[in-house]
Amino acid sequence: MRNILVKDIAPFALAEEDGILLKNQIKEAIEKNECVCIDFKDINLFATPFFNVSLGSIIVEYGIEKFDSNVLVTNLDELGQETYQHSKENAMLFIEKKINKEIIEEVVLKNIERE
Amino acid sequence: MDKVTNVNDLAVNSNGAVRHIAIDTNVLLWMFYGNVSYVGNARTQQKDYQKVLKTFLSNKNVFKLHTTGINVNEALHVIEKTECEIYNQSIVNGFELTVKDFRNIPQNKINLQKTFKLFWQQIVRLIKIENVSLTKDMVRDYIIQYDRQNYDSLDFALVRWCQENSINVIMTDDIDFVGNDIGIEILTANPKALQEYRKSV
Repeated sequence: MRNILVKDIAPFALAEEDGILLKNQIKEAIEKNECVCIDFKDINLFATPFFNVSLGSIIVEYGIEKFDSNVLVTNLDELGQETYQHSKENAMLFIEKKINKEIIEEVVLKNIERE
Repeated sequence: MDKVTNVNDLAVNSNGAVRHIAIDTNVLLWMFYGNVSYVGNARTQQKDYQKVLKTFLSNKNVFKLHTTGINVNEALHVIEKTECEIYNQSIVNGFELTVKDFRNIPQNKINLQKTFKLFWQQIVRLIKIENVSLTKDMVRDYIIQYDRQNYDSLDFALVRWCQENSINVIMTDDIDFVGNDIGIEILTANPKALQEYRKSV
């Protein structure tokens, strides 16, 4: 099993750019049909967008079965675990309801930029 | 006119002085609201704000971050409205539920509460949420000064709190903060706000 230590990528699980780096490493393992352990040791600051572009995005791309059989997530504290679960559930809903990314983009932009 | 600085040009002060920065609602959303990750390359703000947040956290002895209960509350309203519109357009295919109808569906209430809870907890670990009340006097002052500023009453509450607590930097994505004279530096990644400022100086 390949081990990815998140703190080798970034000191915090916050920014999307770091989430994308994590996603690329997971993808590389999955493409080779390797199992991968994502280790969040020493990470205690989280933001949902990080999880959406890394783990959530992998679920959307490969499906939940492939994700669950190839990816193991460890050493998340309670908030990290809740954020990860939330992101996972949203990714599954995204697949199930065939949600259009462009709709989300349009609505989010309209509402945030109005603020 | 107050100075407007691009977040990408933020210098890490090395003389040991602490910089207190107030974070506005829209920046909280760009940093912590999950659905911003579906905004592809249409906007670059979220990447810039998330990047500068890393700079703040890597220099915790220099930067102290604050926001207010009013700003978090405003963000929750935006999230609720956004989730409702996504639901209307994606799940029930154009059927127009109002926000009230949307939140009264039990599963939606559970999901929203989970989203709110995570949003709150993620912020609390990084940013001090200050108690600020929108008082009668504040609303009166907002009305009196209405013709002299560009921003709304909730922004006014943030500005007033900053002035009362000697905080002279607000990080915001709101163009309404440009062109005022309130003695507060504006930190932004909003290209329109930066352009507006450059035109006026």
